[in-house]
Amino acid sequence: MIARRVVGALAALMLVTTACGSDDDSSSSSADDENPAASEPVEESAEADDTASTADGASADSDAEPSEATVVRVGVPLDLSGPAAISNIGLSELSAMELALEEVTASGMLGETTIEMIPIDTKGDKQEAVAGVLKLIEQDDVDAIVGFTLTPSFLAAGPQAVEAGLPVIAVGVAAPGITEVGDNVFRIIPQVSSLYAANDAMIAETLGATSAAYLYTSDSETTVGIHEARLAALEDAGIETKSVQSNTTADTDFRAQLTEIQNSGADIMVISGFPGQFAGQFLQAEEIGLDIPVLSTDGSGRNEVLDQAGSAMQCVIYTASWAAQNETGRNPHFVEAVQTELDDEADLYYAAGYDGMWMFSTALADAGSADPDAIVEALNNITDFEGAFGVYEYDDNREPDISGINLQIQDNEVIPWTPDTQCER
Amino acid sequence: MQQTINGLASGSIYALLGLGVTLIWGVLHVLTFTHAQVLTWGAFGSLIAINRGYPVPVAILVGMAVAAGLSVLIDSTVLEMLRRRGASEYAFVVATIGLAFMLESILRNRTRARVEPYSRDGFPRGPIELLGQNVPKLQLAVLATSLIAMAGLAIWLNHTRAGRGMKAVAYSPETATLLGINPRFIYAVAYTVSGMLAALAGVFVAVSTASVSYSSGDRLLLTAFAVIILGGMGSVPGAVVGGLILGVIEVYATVHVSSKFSEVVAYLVILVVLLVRPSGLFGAKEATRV
Amino acid sequence: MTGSQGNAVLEVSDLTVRYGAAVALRGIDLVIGEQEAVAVLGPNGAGKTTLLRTISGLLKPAAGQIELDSHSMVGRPAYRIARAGFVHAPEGRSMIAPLTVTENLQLGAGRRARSDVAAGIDEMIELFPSLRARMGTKAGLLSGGEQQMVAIARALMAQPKVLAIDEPSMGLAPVVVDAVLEALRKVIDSGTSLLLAEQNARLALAVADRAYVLVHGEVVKSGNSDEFGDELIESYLT
Ligand SMILES: Nc1ncnc2c1ncn2[C@@H]1O[C@H](COP(=O)(O)OP(=O)(O)O)[C@@H](O)[C@H]1O
Ligand SMILES: [Mg+2]
Repeated sequence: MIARRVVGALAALMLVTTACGSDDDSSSSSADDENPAASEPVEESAEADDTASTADGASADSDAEPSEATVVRVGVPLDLSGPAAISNIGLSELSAMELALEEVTASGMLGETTIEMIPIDTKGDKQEAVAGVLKLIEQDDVDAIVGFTLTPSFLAAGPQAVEAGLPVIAVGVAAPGITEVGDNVFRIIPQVSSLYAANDAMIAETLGATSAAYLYTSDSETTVGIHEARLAALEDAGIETKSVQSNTTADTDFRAQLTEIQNSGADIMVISGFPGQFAGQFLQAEEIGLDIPVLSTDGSGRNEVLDQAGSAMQCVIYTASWAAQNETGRNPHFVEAVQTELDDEADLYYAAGYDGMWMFSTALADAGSADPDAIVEALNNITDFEGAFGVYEYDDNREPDISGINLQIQDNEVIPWTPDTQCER
Repeated sequence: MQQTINGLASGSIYALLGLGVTLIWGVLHVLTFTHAQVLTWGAFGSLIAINRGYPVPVAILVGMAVAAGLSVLIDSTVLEMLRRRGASEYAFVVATIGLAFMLESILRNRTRARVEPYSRDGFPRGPIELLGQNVPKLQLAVLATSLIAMAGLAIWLNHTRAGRGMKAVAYSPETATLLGINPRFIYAVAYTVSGMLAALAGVFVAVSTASVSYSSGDRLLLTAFAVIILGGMGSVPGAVVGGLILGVIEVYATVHVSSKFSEVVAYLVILVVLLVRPSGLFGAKEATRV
Repeated sequence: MTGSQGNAVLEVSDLTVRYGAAVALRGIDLVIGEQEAVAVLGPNGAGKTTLLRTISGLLKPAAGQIELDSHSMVGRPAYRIARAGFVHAPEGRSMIAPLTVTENLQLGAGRRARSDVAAGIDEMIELFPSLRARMGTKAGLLSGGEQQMVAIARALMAQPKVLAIDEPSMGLAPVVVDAVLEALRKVIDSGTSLLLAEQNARLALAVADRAYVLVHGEVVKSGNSDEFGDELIESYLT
């Protein structure tokens, strides 16, 4: 009886769902057009002909003339859908990789060789990631893997690629320990925790701080890792810890934590969190009259954050692994290319995808063949690689030695920060 | 002192939410899992009005209207169908969970999962000196508005025809019917009021963070349930007191234990109340509601 | 039938009601005239409550007609039948326990104007003087007799055309029953028609002009109250 009623309720629900769903489809179809890769990578669409040409053209090639010698197949597992906030990140990475591949092809640096990208959607799901990567290895017979958006997807599926002996360039993942998975794993986005740790002490010293209070997001490995590294680095530099407060990704009210920090009398506040919560944190800090200097986290200068809380963020300093303001390496060109080719503003994820594909192509050109060992060796030996993250190369642990850039928010703008930068609050 | 105000301010938002849930429970004996979504939709309603340049009070009313309309729609379609079939309480829970998912995914698609900026222009800003303390004006406004809304609700429930009708339907829909009261109308009124309160809470959450997204209300559903379990299921004064207490407990947990601890306060409150005093602070018997 | 067709306030014809497959009422015809008091008598389980619940719209009849003031009530929602003037004080008094006596009475008043409601409450206090001291008490705390009075008064607040009461004497002390009957006589005098469902035939016949006897869902006898001698009562109702 109960079962029947529940089934009835669900049926009713589905009726309503489909009714609303169809209504929804018609109006959101334009959104799909802008993101062709979300549903079908080869969907024909005017704005997305770069997608169409790489994916479509390449697969046509491999069908028609299966000459292994000239086509290098690169598996591109990315979290294109799934946990919603992430989906745009994966898409950005994909389109930047396509952009980079076009540039590589146009440069002629690969000679006769062409690269075919085989994107798959790992959906922010570990099982999808494992299945997808296995398919790339076993069915698509890829020569290398350049991809991965989220750390969990990488940690689940990365080992499959390592076992298959393929070179792996992790583009999106930012957590520590990524390259420890195997000797053939390289990364693009630097371990942010070490990046902050390297810069925080210098910034704190410049500000004349002797003590610090911390606010960090405690339900994400990434922010916890960043927070711990920053706290340790600042303590090593002799900065006393006055208060440690945390919040979760679901929190909207940070006043209790901020009040504690205010009462602690610390000289500076160090925030390790996510862009979605910065606006609330800074506005509420302003509300309660907390006006000590703030060292924040990358993402603080995003447009939407500044739109929401720009004036409450005057003089906030943060370190970014990538920023449009960075004038080194291939970055100026990259920022412009994203603007002209992708009609969007460059960001960290575009940069990661872009450098990932350029890095692989450079290694492929250096190695002169798609042999996995040769490519791994080439990656290890690259010097002064010029990318969107500046000029860098891999250290012994296959970590990029990206130094990052310090930035400050002044009058709703993000400017590069140096110890000489003045800021009026 | 400032921390107590922090607690009361977030507690008053919890109370607004708890009131909505408790009202629906009291009148319809349905635990509405859609409530957090109603809050979010209401916040988006007000956002649209703000972005179109309407003044803040009008925008809040628009948000309330959106949330009320959505609530009534849910009640008069899916829930009414279930009532007609004499479905079990269980079926209502499943249905509202399903609806909550549906509402969330519609919003997620429509907003493309983006966090939308919520302008604070027109809302109180900055601190005000009060008893030697710097108290944020916004918090005071939230606290005052919530208390006014709650007082209004109490007066309305106790001193108007519709309020009495609601109590009658809550107590016995059949008796109410025999007295010429249309229970479906009362259900719609209950959902309207509950939606309006949720939207008010939604606006406050959105202003606090200057942003709103499809998932803005997610965490607050559990909080709302904790509030009504603490206050007593179906009890209006219980929801008010329960909300304020929960807000203050959360802040004190942050301050005196650890800010990590505040995350589990809602769960702990639910557990402890269910173990120690299942009827909550104000719940007499299961039967007394609203 | 005694009631003249011309001024029937309530007319039930050929009414059949089922609970699933079980027939609870079969082919019931019943008429109530203006200012008339009619009793429906019958042993426990005869179908009296079912009849009242069907007329008031809580149950849907399988067949038959129900007309109030010549308007069909079949298929109307119960709250609209109440508003149309058939107000049913159900078995067990059904107080809204958390509300006070005054609030219960206000509930009954429906859409009467505020001042009118106050006047109505005064009338009810006049009708049931023992309620005067209890007006501020929560209805759930009243004695059975007081609750019955509130139930009747609450129904009267709506100024019904027909007041239907299910088992008003049930569980009440004889003195209290007398007070209730006394009040009901006044109600009839003031122009309201009455439909009493009662097991206690003697009591009901003391106020009713006419009576129907229901057994196993069928009317086995109807007539003026004075036609019901003691033996008749004994033979049907024990
Ligand atoms: N809800 C119900 N479902 C099934 N049968 C019922 C229900 N209510 C009453 N009955 C049956 O209908 C018949 C008439 O009951 P009722 O109208 O309550 O009689 P009365 O009020 O005269 O005692 C009885 O046989 C009773 O068992
Ligand atoms: Mg009965």
